Amino acid sequence: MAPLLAHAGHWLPYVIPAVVVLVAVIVATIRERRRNESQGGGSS
Amino acid sequence: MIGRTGSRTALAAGWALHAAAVTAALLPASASAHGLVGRSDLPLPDWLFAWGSSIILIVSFVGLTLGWRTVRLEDYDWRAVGAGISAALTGRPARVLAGTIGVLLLALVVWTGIDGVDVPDRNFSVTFVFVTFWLGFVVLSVLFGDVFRAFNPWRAIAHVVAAGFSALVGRRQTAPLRYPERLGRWPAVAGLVGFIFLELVWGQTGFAAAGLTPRTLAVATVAYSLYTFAAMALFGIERWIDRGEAFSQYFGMFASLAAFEVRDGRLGRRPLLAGATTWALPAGSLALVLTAIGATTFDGAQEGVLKEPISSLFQSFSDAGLSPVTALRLTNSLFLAGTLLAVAAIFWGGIYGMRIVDGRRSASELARKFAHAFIPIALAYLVAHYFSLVVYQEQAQFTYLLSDPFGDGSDLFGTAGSGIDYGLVGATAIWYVQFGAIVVGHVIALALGHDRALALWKDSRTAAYSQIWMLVTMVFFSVLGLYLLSQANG
Repeated sequence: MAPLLAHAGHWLPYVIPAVVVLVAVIVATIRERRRNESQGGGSS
Repeated sequence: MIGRTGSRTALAAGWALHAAAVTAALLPASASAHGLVGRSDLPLPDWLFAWGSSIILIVSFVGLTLGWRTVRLEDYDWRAVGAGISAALTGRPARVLAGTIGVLLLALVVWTGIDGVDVPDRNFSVTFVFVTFWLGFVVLSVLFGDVFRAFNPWRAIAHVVAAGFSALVGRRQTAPLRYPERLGRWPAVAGLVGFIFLELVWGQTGFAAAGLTPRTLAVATVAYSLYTFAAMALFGIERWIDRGEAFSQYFGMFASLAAFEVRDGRLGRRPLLAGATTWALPAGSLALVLTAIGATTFDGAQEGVLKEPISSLFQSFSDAGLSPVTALRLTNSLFLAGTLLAVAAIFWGGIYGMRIVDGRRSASELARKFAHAFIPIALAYLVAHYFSLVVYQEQAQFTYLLSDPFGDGSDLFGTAGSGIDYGLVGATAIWYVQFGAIVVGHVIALALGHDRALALWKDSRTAAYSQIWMLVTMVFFSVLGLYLLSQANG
């Protein structure tokens, strides 16, 4: 764990865009699912 | 241009580095051989390229959603090319010529491996198998289709033997066993893992005196040949080529992206990428493409991000009493397995995300349906990781290794004194090729996934929402690829 933290300056800038996209997609998926459920068209 | 001795030193180090990072620090010339070059003159910090690739992928996703609204690649048209061209390229004389070349090269690999000097950088066999053959046929496959089928030495030998045997007994022989369809491509996956193990684990050097020598490679080649002939004898030549033969399946995977396809002995054209839409039908296809991505990921990580963890675990095993060679191979085996699992985890993360959008389809069905979209990522990783290796090592292959294949001082073509010109492609240019390959490969992967989603869901809104999970996966893989390259190059 310590080496990972020690090199955070290297990998953190790379992780940021992936995390931003992941969060945005999770939010979009939840909203779409709620929309489907409110229309009674839940797919699962 | 460096001299022959210098270039050979560099080539030797290239192989060492190919597997072990510790050696890299000691032999800088080899670093160039594997693209491990500094990029101090880049105008931007390298992590900004990861941001750039993410933005390009997001823009591409939006562009695909808005502009690509009908299925274009599924159920593609195949059109035969002119009969004369087809006959010239796929007719009997061409097949005999290609098969003969394949058999001669196989024989040369075994012969030089056994009879040549047992030093990787001075023997034709090692560079030929791991660079010219392994990487060269990927390029040829993407450009021209399944060309390896024609050059496949095991197929050529098996057909000659089968024809001779049939003539001897007076009737055509049939395979004694029916190939179990449920096995699909799994034997090919096992073969691929074996090859990767040979290259990246068995062939390790650095911490200890392990290493893949030409002699070991020759023995492995003979063993694989015997295994292949036995399987062909049991299940039929073409059946084994179509499912179980590792190299046919590996190169065939990349050939599915090409615009050329042979059907019933006739050469034809199809839309670019369209062949991939039917590639993943047999069982084991997903494992094959993920293994291809994982192998390159591990090779890249060995040289950079995993260098310290590998060193640490190696030390622990050594302290526990294992011999250095055993400790090194065990360490790398574990990290290779871990890398393959990590790649699979990213893939399955995207698949389960898609399942949130449409829970009616099982994860395994979605995985099968979208496995083909990851072929361009496997290609992108290969190009990005091995571009400089190919540029440098092919100079050795087609000069002194060709002229002096046994490493005994002969000079068959007058090029034995040549060396590798490391100035042929600059460090900055290499980085831009790597970046371009990663970005283009992932955009193509997005397009393949988008087309499949349209075919699967019909409703373009659901298709788009399913593909935002493909977008996440693509961003993860592109960022991972660029990070590994930046660490290996640093």
